[in-house]
Amino acid sequence: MNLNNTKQVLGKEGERIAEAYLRKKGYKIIERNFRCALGELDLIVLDRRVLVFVEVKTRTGDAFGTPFEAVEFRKQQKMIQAAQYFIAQRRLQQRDSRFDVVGISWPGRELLVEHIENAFELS
Amino acid sequence: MSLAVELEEAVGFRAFEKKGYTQGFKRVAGIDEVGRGPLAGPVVAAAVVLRPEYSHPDIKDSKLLSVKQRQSLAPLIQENAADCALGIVGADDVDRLNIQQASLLAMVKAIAGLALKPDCMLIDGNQSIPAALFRMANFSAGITIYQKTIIKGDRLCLSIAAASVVAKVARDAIMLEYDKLYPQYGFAEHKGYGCEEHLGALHRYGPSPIHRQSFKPVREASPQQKDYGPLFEA
Repeated sequence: MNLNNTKQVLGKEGERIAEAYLRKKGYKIIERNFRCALGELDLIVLDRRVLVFVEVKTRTGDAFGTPFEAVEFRKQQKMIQAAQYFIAQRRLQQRDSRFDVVGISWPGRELLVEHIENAFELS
Repeated sequence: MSLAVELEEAVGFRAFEKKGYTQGFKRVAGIDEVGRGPLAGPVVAAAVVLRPEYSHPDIKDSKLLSVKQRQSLAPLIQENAADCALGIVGADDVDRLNIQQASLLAMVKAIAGLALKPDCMLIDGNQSIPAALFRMANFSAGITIYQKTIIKGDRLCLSIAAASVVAKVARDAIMLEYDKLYPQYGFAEHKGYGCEEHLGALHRYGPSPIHRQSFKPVREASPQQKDYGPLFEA
């Protein structure tokens, strides 16, 4: 289904779906839409003891690549900086952390939720 | 049905669009929304700008089509439309505004999502969109869009019918996803509408995060009053 014109439309609803999806997986939601001068993070969650920074990608067609590809380099850098700010602010330096991407697309009649753990590295 | 009658009907179904274009408008959009009634989930609106001569015999009010018909029609509309966009307003915003404002906001979002802004909108119902809502969606000042409300527009106007099909299919897809995430309510079947099965589940399990707290049956099934934040603390 060609839905190029309706890309990004899921928007906040996509974030809500991603949140419910992660909660169902047993993750604990710590913060949504964390913003600082360095960047922003859609969701910050706990996977048991591991701090996870989640980017929610809502694409309604696949013409622009998979959700994973959609997190381009500059966006990654901003997320990393925002995550470092969050870690420093909450004094969470001792915790393991990682970056995940939850992609929500609409390739056919049903939505497709993809969860990529360790989508990129903190470096 | 003779070909002549069929043609006449098709033209009649396009009468509003035709009138718009002969009056000099460049882009005539049909707008409709679904999900006003349900106790859970978002309101979804669609804005569709059809090519001036485009028609399809199967496009009609989404309520008159089967699920299968709608699902095969929606991608067809999106591919053949000059422009097509969705606007989604979640349950939390439905609670914050009210259902009336939320559905109008969904329409504004749909229009804002169009690649090129229309200069004429055909809107289902009897409510035109107030200017304040356009400002909420960051419309540039000075843009003027003519609004025409059409009661029973989804039966009478092709673009609105097309929008109703796209919006319905999109909302159903979202509710199917929520059915996987909150399986106890049966969203896949009733899509959030307040049927007996849904009300039963609501009382048994209490509301989910996507239930509309401002709707009475949801409120009545809530274990306690919703927390509105520190503002209301004693």
